[in-house]
Amino acid sequence: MRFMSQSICGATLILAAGGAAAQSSVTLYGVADVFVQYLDNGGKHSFSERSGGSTGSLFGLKGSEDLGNGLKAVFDVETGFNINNGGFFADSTAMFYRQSWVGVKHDSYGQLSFGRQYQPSFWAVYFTDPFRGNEVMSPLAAADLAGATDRSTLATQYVSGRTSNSIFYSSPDMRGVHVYAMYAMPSTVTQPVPVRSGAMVDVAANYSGYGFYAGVGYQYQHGSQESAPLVPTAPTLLTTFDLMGTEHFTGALAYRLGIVNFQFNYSYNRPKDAPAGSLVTITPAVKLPLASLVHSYSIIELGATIQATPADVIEIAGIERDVRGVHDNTPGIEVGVDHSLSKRTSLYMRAGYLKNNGSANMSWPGVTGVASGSKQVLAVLGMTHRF
Amino acid sequence: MKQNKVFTLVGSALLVLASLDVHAQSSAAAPASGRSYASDAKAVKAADRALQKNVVRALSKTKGLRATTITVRAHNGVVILEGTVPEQSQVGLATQAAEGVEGVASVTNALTLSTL
Repeated sequence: MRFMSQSICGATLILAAGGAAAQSSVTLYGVADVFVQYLDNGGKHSFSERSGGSTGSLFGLKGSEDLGNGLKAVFDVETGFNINNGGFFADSTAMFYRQSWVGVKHDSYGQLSFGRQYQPSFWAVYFTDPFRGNEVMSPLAAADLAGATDRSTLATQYVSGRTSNSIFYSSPDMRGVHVYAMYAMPSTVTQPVPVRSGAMVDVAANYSGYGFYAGVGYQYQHGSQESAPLVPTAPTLLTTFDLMGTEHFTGALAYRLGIVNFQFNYSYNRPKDAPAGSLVTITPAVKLPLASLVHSYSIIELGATIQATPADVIEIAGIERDVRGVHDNTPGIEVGVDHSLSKRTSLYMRAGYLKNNGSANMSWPGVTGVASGSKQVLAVLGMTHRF
Repeated sequence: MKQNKVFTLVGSALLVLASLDVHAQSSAAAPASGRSYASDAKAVKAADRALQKNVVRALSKTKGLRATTITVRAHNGVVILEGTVPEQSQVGLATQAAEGVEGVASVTNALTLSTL
């Protein structure tokens, strides 16, 4: 009897130990990325030390727990930070600005998760940007985020890449095909400018195989409201105006030929018309028609990622952002080189040129005081370390 | 007009880069074949290309591996995997998948990690 209870006890212990090892895991991961930048911002020259030019500086925790029958509980929380001062990236009120979600994942049925997550349209386009959608140095991010600064598209919404309060479904791999769907409840943020977002729907699909990649996405953002500075000479004067419901159509292609991956993406962003006669009140005496802030726009990017040697990657991209209905457009070009020192550490270089025409004021993200119709020239040297 | 110029520039830069690559590959293939016959060099090159395609195919069929951001280089049965994968576990997975392809003598893994 005593022998039996001992062995049961032992067996239980063994099971418990085995279970702890196999059933759940948590990984701490991150990136520390710093670069020195030279910028010619419409004739004003500056040098600065910045964060996250190859991959955003970040750290996160992700994990999973095996629930049995092919089902797992999964989560990921990931913060963005500025390596130079230790501050939060982009939004100082958000601890996990980049990702924050929990859900379930099944081997054959896919993943269903809830929280702040990457959008389906992001997953459609991500593989076709040579600069991997980096939100500091990618020309695609620059063209996308110009939606937040360009006067003619200020009340047209842009694809933000990540969405809070979202429900996300991602299919398993089906012979190279993935489908993604997202619904997001309205949310409110206070930084970088106060925005009350409406609900959002996003669906996308992509295919990858035999060196070929194709992705399509459709996103609809309901109308919302934003408060932003509209007078360049009075940057602290915030004006509140409506953001139009906006549809985004995204298409992306890539083809790998030997060591060169040719990449292409296009998006068309179409807002609903502003209600006839609606005005934006800047001061009681100064009003402007809301329609002047509402225009469709497109972004086209053509580029290549070249694996020159096992340790060196060359990226090149040409970009153009076009606003419809006004003479606002921005062509640009960017080249980059990433040199790996090890699996986890690399040095990188970026150089780029953007030419704003009309009243366009596109620039690399995080650059302030960009004048309408100005040229931007940029060169950076950086180092990135992944842990 | 100016936009056209920019795109022409990008286009011609890509062409130049593409042709540079072609030169680099052919010059590397010739001495390694050990003979100066042009047809031999061609055969080696064709075999390298076929092997590269087979490895790309095998990688894209491997469950749990994101092959979209992996570059494959193949020469005389020696395969080099380059580019990025999002997780450490996929680095080993890619090597295993490549080693399973017929005609692969050895696999050098130069993959790095990219968080996304």
